Amino acid sequence: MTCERLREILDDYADGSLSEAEHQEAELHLASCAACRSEERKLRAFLGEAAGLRHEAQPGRDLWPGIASRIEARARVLRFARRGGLLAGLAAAAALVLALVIGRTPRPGAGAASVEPGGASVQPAAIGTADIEKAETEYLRATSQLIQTLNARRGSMSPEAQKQMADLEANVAAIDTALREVKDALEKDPQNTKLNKMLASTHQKKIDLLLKLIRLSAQI
Amino acid sequence: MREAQAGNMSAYEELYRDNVGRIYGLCLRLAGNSSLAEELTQDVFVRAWQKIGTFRGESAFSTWLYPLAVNVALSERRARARRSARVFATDDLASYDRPEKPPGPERGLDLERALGELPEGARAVFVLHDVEGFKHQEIAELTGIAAGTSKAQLHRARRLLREALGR
Repeated sequence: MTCERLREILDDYADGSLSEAEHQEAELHLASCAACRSEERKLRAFLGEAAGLRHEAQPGRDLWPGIASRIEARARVLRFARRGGLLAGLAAAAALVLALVIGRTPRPGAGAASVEPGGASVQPAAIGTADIEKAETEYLRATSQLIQTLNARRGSMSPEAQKQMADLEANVAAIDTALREVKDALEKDPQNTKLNKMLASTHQKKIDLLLKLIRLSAQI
Repeated sequence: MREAQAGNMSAYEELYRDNVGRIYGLCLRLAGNSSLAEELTQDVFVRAWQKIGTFRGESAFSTWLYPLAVNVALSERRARARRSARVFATDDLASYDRPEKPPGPERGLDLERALGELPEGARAVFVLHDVEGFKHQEIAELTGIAAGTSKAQLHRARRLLREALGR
């Protein structure tokens, strides 16, 4: 066996995955070649170091509140889905995704927030990432479908429910206008903390609004 | 365990506290940075909660949780990387800094740092095989790559690491 061949199979030799014949050949070569023996020792020392790396590490913050809120939010979505039908569930899920994306978008100098769509506040985030845009698209699609469904049922709604619907639709329009204005301003000044806070809180208002729509749909 | 399976969040929190160090440690090495590792760790425990009904108690909870964590961490990391178009991989050896200090007590830290610079496929296989002790066949089942690919990635990872560390 040549030194070149030995170096090719040295990893397998160290892992014990060579055939018996190859293993014997490698042993014979190592017994007679100091350079390859040195290489083998270096590899084994390196592998020993890797195997000795610590298996545990502690996160820099307590992750449990975020986990618990996501589990509880999901349970809430399932409850909504059972009460308000599949469409409302999908809309709530879209709102949840949006809320989580906003909440988890990293901000300079701060940990991510855990957010649930039941009223917990959303911390200001650096808005404008592809994640948020994707989540927002899903959210808008689901919201739009939900409103269409509720509109189709408008004729069978009580006068009180019809008034609630009208109020909610007006709020949707107002929030959409506000979102457009904040996004326009952010395009010109993306690092503006106040604008980022405003955008996050406006998203939160949309999420709250969606949840009201879902509750309304469940009552009809 | 039975209380957690019955939906008791306090009981599940205890399981989380018992296992978070190991799961976060794994996610940290697979992700290469702490903020993503924290997100992945949360994903793992949310997914484990959703699947906890499938745990039959035939092994320790940690034994059941670990492959699930690998699976979640790898698939979530890939999905996030795709979404953010983040580039983990580099085959350019010139991007690996040679250690300026002589080998000493900080060798482990040097290795951790170099690990974070590895291309993602090679890093995942190295972490699972050489650090965590999985076999190639197990890695293949967890990651969806062929066992032969796992082996090739491992050798590549070792070569890149040793070159980067000058060992």
